[in-house]
Amino acid sequence: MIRTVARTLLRQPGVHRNTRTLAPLSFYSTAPPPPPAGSKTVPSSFQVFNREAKRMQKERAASNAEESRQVDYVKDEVAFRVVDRLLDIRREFNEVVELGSGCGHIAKHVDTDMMKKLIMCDMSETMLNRDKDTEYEVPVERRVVDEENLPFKENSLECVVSSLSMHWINDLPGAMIQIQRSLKPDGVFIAGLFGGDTLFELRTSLQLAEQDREGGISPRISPMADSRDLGSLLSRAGFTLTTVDVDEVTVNYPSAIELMQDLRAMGESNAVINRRHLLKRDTMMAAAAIYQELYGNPDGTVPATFQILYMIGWKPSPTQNKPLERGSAKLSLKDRLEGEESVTPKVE
Amino acid sequence: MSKPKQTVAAFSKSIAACASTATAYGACISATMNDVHKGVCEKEFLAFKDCVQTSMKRKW
Repeated sequence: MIRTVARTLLRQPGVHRNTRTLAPLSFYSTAPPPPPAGSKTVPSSFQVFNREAKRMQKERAASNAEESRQVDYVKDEVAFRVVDRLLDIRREFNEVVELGSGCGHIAKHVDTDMMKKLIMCDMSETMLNRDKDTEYEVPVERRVVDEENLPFKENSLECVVSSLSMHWINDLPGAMIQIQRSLKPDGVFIAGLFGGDTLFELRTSLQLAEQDREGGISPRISPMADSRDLGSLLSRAGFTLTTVDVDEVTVNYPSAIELMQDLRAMGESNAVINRRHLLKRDTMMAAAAIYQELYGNPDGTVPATFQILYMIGWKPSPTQNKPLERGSAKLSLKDRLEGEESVTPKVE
Repeated sequence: MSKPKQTVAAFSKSIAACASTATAYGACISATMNDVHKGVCEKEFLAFKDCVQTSMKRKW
């Protein structure tokens, strides 16, 4: 008896006061109120990267223009390969929007046969304007844009390209839906982004070094997309005629130290939300030694793998070619193939 | 590449100069790959660290 009384007393007061003062609000749901319309919303389950930290890293990297230009090699190479895919589309675009343009790597490779104008968008203003005095073949416009929150109107763009920037987006499905929405029907989206095997050597070396020196591991290299996921992501965002392919770029460095230094100069330092801000000197040298031992080349350099995933998707349109209806074929593929097989020996 | 006056470059140079101790440490980690825990290659690491510190003329 006493026990139950005590329990009810313990429970009651808070509840009572709450329900009375904030009557209808706290009754049914403890979820926060919906954010005002038009504000940026990334569900917390998708929050992997600290976008503000990433912007600062890019600003800082680009403010040292000389060093920043020295480390353009990976982004230039991948931008060239993305442009190569754009070249396959025999269409002259009026405007092409580039998301996460960085210092203008796509701009270096495009020409007036492909587009009349390139709109470079990046979250970092300093990076965007690093080479603002450079003349490109195609006129460019620079805009500071957060790739997670696109400012473009629905059905307004002919073509969106992106090269090595989408790996820092928290909500990749959401961003792709926004891109699909902003494209005109029959508009195309082409992107290249880092895949899961990127920097696997550095990831392993740092993990082993941290385990030996400090007895635990911390998130040093971001989680990255897998090639198998991209196809589903594209379809989920509503793209059709999707294509995904994988490619690798390997760069040799004198040691892991130079690799980490170059990554920082690219503005590609770690931006995972709960990252550790400190890499101890002991751990760093341990990682360099392990990297050399496990992956080193015979000539003393160390390779770093950059895995790049390319994806192409089209916004559906009635004018696009569609597969014919099932069963509408007039020739049998089986007969055709068997026929050829029986024909070829006769010819020989 | 960076100028040699930078600490990071000097650090990298010192690590390269201690290749033999670094290899010994790397080999130790590589051998215990499936059971790496804190201080598993302490002896090899200290030799490596000692060499790097001598080469850099700095202690930490």
